[in-house]
This record gives sequence, structure tokens and C-alpha cells, in this order.
Amino acid sequence: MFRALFAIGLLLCIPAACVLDTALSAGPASWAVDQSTFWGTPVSNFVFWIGLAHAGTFFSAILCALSVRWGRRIAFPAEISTVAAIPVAAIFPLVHLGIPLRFYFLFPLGVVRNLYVNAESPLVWDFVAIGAYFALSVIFLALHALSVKRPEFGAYRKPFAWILFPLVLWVHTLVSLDFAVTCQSAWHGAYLPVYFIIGALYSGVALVLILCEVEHRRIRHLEELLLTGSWIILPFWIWEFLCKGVWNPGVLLFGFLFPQFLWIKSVRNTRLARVALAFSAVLAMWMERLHFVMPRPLDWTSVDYGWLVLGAGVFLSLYFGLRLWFQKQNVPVCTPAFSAVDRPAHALPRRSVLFAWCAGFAVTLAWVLWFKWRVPAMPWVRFIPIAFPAIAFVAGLVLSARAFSGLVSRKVLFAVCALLGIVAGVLCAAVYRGGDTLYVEPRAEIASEAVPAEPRDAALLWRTRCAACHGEDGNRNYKFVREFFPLPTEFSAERLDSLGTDSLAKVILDGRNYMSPQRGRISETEAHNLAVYMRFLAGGAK
Amino acid sequence: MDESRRNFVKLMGLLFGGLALGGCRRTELAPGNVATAENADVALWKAEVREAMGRSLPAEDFVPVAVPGARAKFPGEKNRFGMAIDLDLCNHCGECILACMLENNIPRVSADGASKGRYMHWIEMRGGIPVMCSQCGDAPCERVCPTGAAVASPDGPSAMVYSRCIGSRFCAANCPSRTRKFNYEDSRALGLAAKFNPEVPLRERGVMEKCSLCVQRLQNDRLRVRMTGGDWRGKTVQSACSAACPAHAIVFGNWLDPESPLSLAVRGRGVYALKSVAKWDPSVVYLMGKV
Repeated sequence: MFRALFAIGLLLCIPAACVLDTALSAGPASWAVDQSTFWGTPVSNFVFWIGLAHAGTFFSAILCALSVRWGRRIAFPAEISTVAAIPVAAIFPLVHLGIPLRFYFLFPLGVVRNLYVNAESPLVWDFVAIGAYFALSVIFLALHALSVKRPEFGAYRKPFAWILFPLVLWVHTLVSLDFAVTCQSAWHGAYLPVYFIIGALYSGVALVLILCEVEHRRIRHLEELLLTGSWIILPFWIWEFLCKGVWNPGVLLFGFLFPQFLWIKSVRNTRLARVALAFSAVLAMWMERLHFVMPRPLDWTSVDYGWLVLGAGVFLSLYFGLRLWFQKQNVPVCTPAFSAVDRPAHALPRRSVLFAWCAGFAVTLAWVLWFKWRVPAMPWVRFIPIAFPAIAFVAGLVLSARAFSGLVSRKVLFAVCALLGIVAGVLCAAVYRGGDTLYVEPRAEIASEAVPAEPRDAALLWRTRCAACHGEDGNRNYKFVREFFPLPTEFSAERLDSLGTDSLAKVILDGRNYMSPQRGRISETEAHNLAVYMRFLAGGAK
Repeated sequence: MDESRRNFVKLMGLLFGGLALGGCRRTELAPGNVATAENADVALWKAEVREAMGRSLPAEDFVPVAVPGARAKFPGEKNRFGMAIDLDLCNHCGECILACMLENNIPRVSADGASKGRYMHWIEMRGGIPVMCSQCGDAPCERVCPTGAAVASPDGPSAMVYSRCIGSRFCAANCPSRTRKFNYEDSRALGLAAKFNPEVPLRERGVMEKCSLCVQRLQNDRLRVRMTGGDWRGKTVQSACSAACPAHAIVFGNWLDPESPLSLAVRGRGVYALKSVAKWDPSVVYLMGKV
């Protein structure tokens, strides 16, 4: 069964790769968007998949944190489904970007490499929160898997669950803010975060129910939750209808009416019916997300339909791939309700949990202060959305470092840390270097300006033409330059001497790297005079 | 033996998968030669403007607003450029659209793009009235841009830094007047772009763009005045649409200069703005009737 589903997933990955390739090579033009509807199906699929991921966390972390026993029976499949669904969700926003290779512009590094990140944008919040959520979900799953053979890891589950519990609610709140902060009346409403979270959990419950049926387990609590979910989400749909006139009969049919069949005993006791009803709930939530993101539907292209294949293919292959791998490692994926695994002999000392949270808080505070120092215009209140994911991320890392430090010898630990450091360093270097930030464009001669025959005053020219980047005194205009363009090289008499006036004049006229060419705007004599003036500035700067 | 066969099948599977992936790659379009003002066929651009105007987009709602003034964001700033479109004079001819395209190197769109309404025109005729970016003083698009590509400039235009744009289209989703245009097509490769104006870069695929208030004209004038050492108020600058308007319905100028043609033109007139952006302090307004 697992193998068959894994194979199906892999097979679906082939058309999915074609869809992805079409989408990336043709850009956003390949799916249904136009000049008034800019967010299309990738955004709705993203919201849908990140919602599915949340249910995994709900059943593992939230139920674990609240010590609900029956949650343990399905915690493992649920955690795997989270780890499988987040990468699927992450594909969509990346594809959605007009220039996907520039995604690293979103790293909230303040103004490192003179890139300015607007941390007021919900997109940046999303990026940070989902990154932290994914990393912590993977660690949580790893801790769970390890605790089967090493019961001491079980002690970390509950503190970790308490990190993930608020984080998962936070993440989906941020996703809803992507919409709620805009000026579009169709996306307004203070109820949006709750609506999104309820919708996510509802679709996620349905998914976990299906996954449990695949494991040949029937958990009646899930059926009850599914029914409850359908009644909780109904008021939101009624509210949307009353406030905004949103009317989706399909969503009501699949999302509310069909699940009501679970009330009937004979239907409830049929395995196939349970799966079908859960699937109808998943489908309804998918449709609901589509309508929400694109209230005015456009004609779909093959790529729009292809997202379905992409999502299903990647999720199936990741989920069942991981599932099979754990089976191979002799990890019992379906743990019985009362296993020793979930009842560690001794809980983690409260002190170390507190230390992890404090470390998270301290690191985040330092980062916020640093960011505020670099970008004073950033309002304090706007730091809150990213601050919590950052705290959770650091706290989780500290906890897991403590957990894994017991696993390996000191030497191995050192090697792992060194390796991680190197990877982090390379990543930082890559971000710092960045891609090409200038247009590759044949530099057309600009002959629009009449250059006077008489050379103009070099100092005046410098202040007019050069000072915007290089500064009036040659000492760089940080205010302008650091927001995007790499800083011009620093002035020093030695450096200028080594270059020579003629080559400097040539750079001024023809440009170099980020220096834009000035030919056509200033004459050759003037360029020469400017080079001399630069020398004067460099000497004066000493 | 069994083990090796298994490995062989795995290896072949991987190879097949890799080849399939490789086979799916599309060949890149060869970059076409970009036409310039000398050899571009302006008739094509004219035809596209006519085509776009034939769509008869629904009219916008207008509400009366106060005359735009200084912005709290930039205290002490002497200039705030903007425009006023006199709806009593406008004869809905669409010359402004064409002039704007030629000034700002706005590309045409393919037949497919046209059928999906993906025109790049910075000015659109909505109900026969030219509508462009209102250059809001407190622009919603600037707040949500994750990379600061949509950013307020002290001179008035809500600027767009193309090289910072990653194409998240958040700004456009948050633009109440829907006047931002996204480069869906690689117009250069498709041969749909022309460099009429060497001072304006061609935009690449995946970048957002919009009315820039002809920032290149402002910049040139600023540099010219600075070289003579004067106080720059942008008196002689005119946007391309304003210069091209046969009815002189579009007035360009400096809101903070009481002698600018703009300040003179709004005197005693009813000042209106698009209802959708009225609360964001727009710099581009509409004139109707007298008060």
C-alpha cells in the first residue's frame, strides 16, 4: 500500500516537474493572472498546503502539549505529514515570484549588503515564520523518531511542543495578514486570522483522517473533530456571505453538507465512505482558498490545473518516502496509545527550558535592536510579527542542541558544529554577494544633453553628477547608497595614484561595474578634470 | 546478484528521471534586437493603443479632495510633483497613452497577452478618462513591498526601483486604483520592446512598473539647474502625456510652488481624485467645474 502510493507520488512528480518547468520558464504569464488580478492559483495553493501542514502540528504538538492521550496514536503520521506538506507549500510562493532567483532579497538582515528589506511587509513575516516552522517541525519529528530507541529524548517532546503550539497559530495568522492588511475590501476583516486557522485545522483533520485510514487505523475522535470542524467553519461562511456576498455552493456542499453523512452509522462504519467524506472536506477547503484569493475567476491554463498534480505528487512522494524510510529504520510509525515513549522517566529540568526561551528572547532582542539601529524608520510594533518566530526558532535550536549533544561524542559534535558553521558561512557569503543587481543592458549613448564646449567647473560637476553616490567630499553618501547599490570604493590617494588619471577618466566616461557611464553627459576634458578633482578630494580627506 | 540488479534498476530510474527532467526544459528564446527610435514602427504602438482603448473599461468614481500639499514624511521638502487632469477639456483621444509609451519605452504585448488584458500601458482610458498612478503621498503599495522596490521619493513620485523588485506583486494586489503593471512577458526577447528613449531602461520580465511622473525629465532638469547653482523647483518640466495632450487637459507641476502651472491651473477649480485612492493623499488629481 505504502509502496504503491509512494510509486504513484513519484510518477506524479514527472508531470509535476513539467508543470514547474513551464511555470518557471514562462513566468507568471503561464497561469491565470492579469493586470488587475495579480495573485493567482499559486497563492491559493500555498495557503491550502500550509494549512494542511498545520494539522500535523496540531495533532502532534498541540495535543502533546495539552497531554491529550489519544493524540499520541497518530502523532507520528501527523508529524511526517507536516514535514511533507511544508516543502510543497514553500514551492508555491517561490514560483509565484516574478524573478524567483531573487527570493533571498527577503532575508530580514536589515541592510546587510546594502539591501533594504522592508520588514513591515507581511511577505517578509511569512518568509521568516514559515522557515522557522519548517526547521522546528523537522527537529520535532527527529526527536520523536529518536525517542523510540533512546527514551531520554522523550523528555524534550513536551517543551518542544510548547514552542510549536503558539508558532503554528502564529504562522497561519501571518498568512492571513498577507490578505488582511491590504486595501482590498474582499480581504478585509478582523476575523480573518481565526477563519484561516479554523480552515487550516479543518482541512488538516481531514487529511490526518485519510492518512490514518491508510495506516488501517480508525480513530473515532477524528471523525468527531471533522464533524465539529464543519460546524465551526459554517458560521464563517455565513458571515462571509452576509458581509461580502461570497456565495460558493460547491464549498458548502463539499465542506459542510457531505461531512454530515458521518452522522449516519452505516456510512461512518464504511472505511471508503470515511475517506471519501474527509476528502470532500479537503477539496472544499481547496476550493474555498481559490475563491478567497481570486474572487473574480479567470480562465485557467494547464499550469493552474498542474498545481494539483504538483502538490499531490510532491506530498505523496515525500510523505510515503519518509514513511517507508522510518519503517526501514524499525521506527513504529503507529505507536500504541500508552507507550513508554511518551512517558519519559524524568522530565527535562525547568531551568533548561527557561534557558532556551531566554536565549531565544535575548537573540531576538539583539537582532531587533540591530535592525532598528540600521533602519530607524521601522516602527517598533512591526517587529512583533517576526519577533515571535525568531524567539521560537532560537529556543528550539537551543533545546535541540542540548538534546543532540547527548547523542554523539564531543568530537562528532564539534565536527557537526563546524560543518554547520561552514554551511552557514557559505550561505551568508552567497547572500552577501547576491546576484547581479544591475540590468544587463547595452549602454546606449545618451546624446540628449548638449555638452558645452567650454569645460565646466569640476567641483560643481562633482556635486551635481557624482555626489549622489560618492558623497560631496568623496566619502560616500550612505543615506542613498546603502539602500540598494553596493558602496562605491573608498577614496585613497594611493589607490587613485595607482589607477592614473587617464584610466579614471575612462571609467567616468564608460562606466564600470555599478558606476554608470557619463559619456554624452560630460565631455572628455571634464572627465579628466573630475579625475584630478577626485585626487584633490582624496588628498583633502586625509 | 539480486542486490546489484536492484541497484541497476535504481540507477536507471534516476537516469531516466534526470533525462526526462532535462527533456522538459524549454529552449530559451533568443534575445531579439531592440528597436530604437529610428527604426521602430510606431504604427504598431498606435494600433495597440487603439486596441486597448476599444476595451471600454468601466469608469472610475471621483470624490472631491483638498489640493495636495506638503507631506509629513518629508518635512522641509520644497517640491512635490504631480498632475491635474482637466476633465472639462479632455477629449478622450488617447494621445497621452501613446506619448507615455514612447517616452518610457513601454513594450507592446503579444496577442496572447492582449487577449488576457495584460497591456503594459501606464495610462488607461477608464470610461474615456485617462487614469494613471496617483502617486499617493501615503502609498499603500510602498508599505507592503518586501524589498523596498516601491518606495516614496522626496520629490513626489512614488518611485519604483526595478532592480530591487522581485515580482511578488504584493504592491499591485494592494493598489486600490489598479494602476500598477506587471511585466508578464519578456518583451525584449519577443521583439515587442523598443528603446525610443535611451534614458529609460527596458524592464525585464517579472518586474512591476507604473507611471513614474517621467522621473527622467525631472532628473535632467534638476541636474541642469544644479549646474547653474539655482534653486530647483522644476518649473520647465512637463511630463510626456502633458506635453502631448492636444487639448492641454493634463497639467504637470509642483504642488509646493504657488507659481507652478499646476498651482495656477487648480485655482478656483473643483479638485477631485479617484475614489479608491482619495484617502491616501494622491498627487495626481482631476479637475471638474468651478467652485
